[in-house]
Amino acid sequence: MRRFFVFSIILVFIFVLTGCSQLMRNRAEIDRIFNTRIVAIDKLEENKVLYTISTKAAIPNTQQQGTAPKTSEFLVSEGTTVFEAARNMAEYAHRRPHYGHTEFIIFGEDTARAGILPYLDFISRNQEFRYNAKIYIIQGNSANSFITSISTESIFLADRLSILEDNAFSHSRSGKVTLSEALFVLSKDNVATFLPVIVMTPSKEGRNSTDGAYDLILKSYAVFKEDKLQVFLDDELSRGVNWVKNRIQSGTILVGAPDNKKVSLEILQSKTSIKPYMDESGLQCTVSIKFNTNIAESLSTEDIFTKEVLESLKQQQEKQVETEVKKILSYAQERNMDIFGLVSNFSMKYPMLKNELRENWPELFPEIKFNVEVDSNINRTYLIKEPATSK
Amino acid sequence: MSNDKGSTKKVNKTILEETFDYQGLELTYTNIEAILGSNSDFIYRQIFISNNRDLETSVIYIDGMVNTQLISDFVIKPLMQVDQFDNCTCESDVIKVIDEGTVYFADTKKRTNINDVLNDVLTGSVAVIFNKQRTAFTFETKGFDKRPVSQPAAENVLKGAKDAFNETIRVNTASCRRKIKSPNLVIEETIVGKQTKTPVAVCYMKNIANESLILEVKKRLENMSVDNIMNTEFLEESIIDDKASPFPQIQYTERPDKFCTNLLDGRVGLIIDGLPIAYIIPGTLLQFVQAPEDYAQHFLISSAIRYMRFTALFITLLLPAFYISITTFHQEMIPTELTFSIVAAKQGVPFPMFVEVLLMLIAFELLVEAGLRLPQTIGQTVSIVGALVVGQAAVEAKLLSPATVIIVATTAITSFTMPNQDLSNALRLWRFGLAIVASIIGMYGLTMGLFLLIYQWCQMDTFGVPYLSPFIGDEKIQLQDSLFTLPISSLKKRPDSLNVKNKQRIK
Repeated sequence: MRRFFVFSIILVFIFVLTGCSQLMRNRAEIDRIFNTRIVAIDKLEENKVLYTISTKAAIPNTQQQGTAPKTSEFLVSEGTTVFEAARNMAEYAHRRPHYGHTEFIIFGEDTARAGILPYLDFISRNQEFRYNAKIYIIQGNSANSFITSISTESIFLADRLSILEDNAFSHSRSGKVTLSEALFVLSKDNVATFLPVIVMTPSKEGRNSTDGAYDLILKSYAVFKEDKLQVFLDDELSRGVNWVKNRIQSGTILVGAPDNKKVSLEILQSKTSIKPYMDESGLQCTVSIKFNTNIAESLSTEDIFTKEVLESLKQQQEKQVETEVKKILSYAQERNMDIFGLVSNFSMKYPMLKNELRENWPELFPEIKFNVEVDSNINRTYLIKEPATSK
Repeated sequence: MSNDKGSTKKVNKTILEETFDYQGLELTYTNIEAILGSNSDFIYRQIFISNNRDLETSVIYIDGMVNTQLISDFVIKPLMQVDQFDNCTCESDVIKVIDEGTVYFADTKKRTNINDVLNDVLTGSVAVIFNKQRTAFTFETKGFDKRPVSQPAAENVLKGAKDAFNETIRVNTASCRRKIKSPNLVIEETIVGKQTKTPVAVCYMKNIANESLILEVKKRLENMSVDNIMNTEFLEESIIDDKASPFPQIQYTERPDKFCTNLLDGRVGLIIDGLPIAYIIPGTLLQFVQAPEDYAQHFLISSAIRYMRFTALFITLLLPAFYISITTFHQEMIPTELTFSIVAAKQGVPFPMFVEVLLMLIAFELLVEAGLRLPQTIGQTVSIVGALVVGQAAVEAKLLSPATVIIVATTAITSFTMPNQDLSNALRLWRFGLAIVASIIGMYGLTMGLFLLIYQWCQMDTFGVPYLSPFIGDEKIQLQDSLFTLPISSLKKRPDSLNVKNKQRIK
């Protein structure tokens, strides 16, 4: 009993002397918190920050006749810093913002051009945010107007975004970049970050079965120098980034059959390895890509499952991938943007030269001689060989 | 009536002396009549042995406790008709003849002390009193009505013996003898209860059980100071170590097969007259989660079920507290989509989550209690009222959110998987405590509460055996039959914590 008494006294001290009062203040009923799922940050004039958070409406609001039910709610506030803006929200917010469920952090194009790092500081410091939240850049729009215009759509924005990023594997032109990945790259000198880009366009007739007014398109990357947006890559260059960064999961390659009809190849798996080395002529780098494909579709009426044709298809797809890779490599070198983080590949290979490499990297990177090796295989051809023809 | 001739009987003298204060009285019919004569069920008959008017004797017994047929045929008839008595001239001759076995009744005792005679008569014997010699003979002619051996009521069995203990100690000891036909099975009897004088049998295997454990059990039984043991708690409370802990420390069972298995493991059993259950000493946490059914199935199946039961133990203990803490303090721990479902379900409910959960838990406890108290014929109403009022109506009236109902229902269902009701009750108590701490400081409080619980478990021991054995203890840890159970062929050793005489169960 005495031991029990001592134990309870220790417990009382644990509660009283630690930061439990903080915990008590964080107590909130689950229906009285604003479960933020998207955070959008925009730069206003006079260095003010426009801070927008959005969540899914727990119960779709269908009270107003004639209008589409609102699936989302959002809160907007202004401040000199992100933290101040977040706290200013309490002036009018109907529920207390909570960031534990934040999945997406969105920046408008203008903000991205001015630099995103100052805004990420609050997010990386606050203990409620998750480091696996994904960062997106909105092309041609501000993040706030993006969220407010999508808020009436029948599917909640965060759900749409997560579906888009789940489906990105099928074209491999974009991909997700998490907060921790972005912070890791942004904290390094000489390395250019790439973040996925969302484009919002008015809905094309017949394109989508939802009654939404806007299409969201995820198909490319935006490249940053330091923390400032430099350029939006096109589809082909974006896939080139994925090839070099070993981020290809699947995708299509179109090649020609002997009768010049198209054959679609599906990428099944791919592996990229980068081997940096140095000799008298300077820095050199071998990018070797190995991938497997499968014939997904053939428009040709001839039998393409012969050794010769398959060999020609294989050479064509290798050629195409090599072109894509070479294109992005020269593109990056021209603009002197090390999107691929090659500086760390070289530093790891030559640790003694680490500092020299880092200091001289802007001069060294454009001079690297790239050697692209592509090895592929068409390995799954199934039982259906001849195309469906009307003989 | 006595089936266990192999047992040795020992009557606890101290208690008898305390309760019967007739030590100074002489053993005569007049004195006995003065003590018992006012009772309506006290039967007295005067007979003359061999119709000899000089040899008067008194036959006394308690009506309803004895088999009168036995008395007539095997006690009175020989006294009246056997030739040897014809030659007797005085009482001492008769006593000598009876001593030689002329009254051919199996269980005969010669008594010279009035206390012994009273005790025998009150437990169902017939006494033949010879006033002048201050001597009596008692014949055990027990013949009261008893419940037949029936199926276990609380411990259901699918695959296994279906007999259960009943209220008669002799029937229960006989069930054990039938299961363990070994001279090493010892059934010692002692008398407990100042007023009721209830026989309690201490059962153990002479060649297996630890000597000091047996002595300790006997010592505690002798030191017990209770009026009666009509209810189990009178016994339990007097012999357990940690009286403040709600967790059971000795195990009860109504199944002789479970009882005997435990005796064979080296534990000590108690069978109490008048109670259809028997106790197994000592009880450890693991035992309360084990079910006899575990040994009636393939070991993979019983392992899966045993593991599920352990999970259920923690679910029933922690789920309400966990639910309160994640919904009021750590909302980021809930999967995103689930958060929105819970929020949608909670719309319009006026109470905080903690109050909701507590209300539901109390309602559930009330339902259980009501179901237990109601007569069986109207017991059905409880479930209807419970399901309709607490379940549906409360949700529709927006007093409770459906998510809370699901959480408490899950808690209830998992608590029903506990094989031992005492353990289930202790968990009920702790569940409330943890829910309250969790509602004050969330997961931190829950963790602290859990620490306290584990601390309590760790410091408990019952009859020198750690409560958490085999998970803790300084001996070699035996986990073959704990969270999971291995094939019977690999359970070669008896539990180490019991420190038995013969550790090897099988070669």
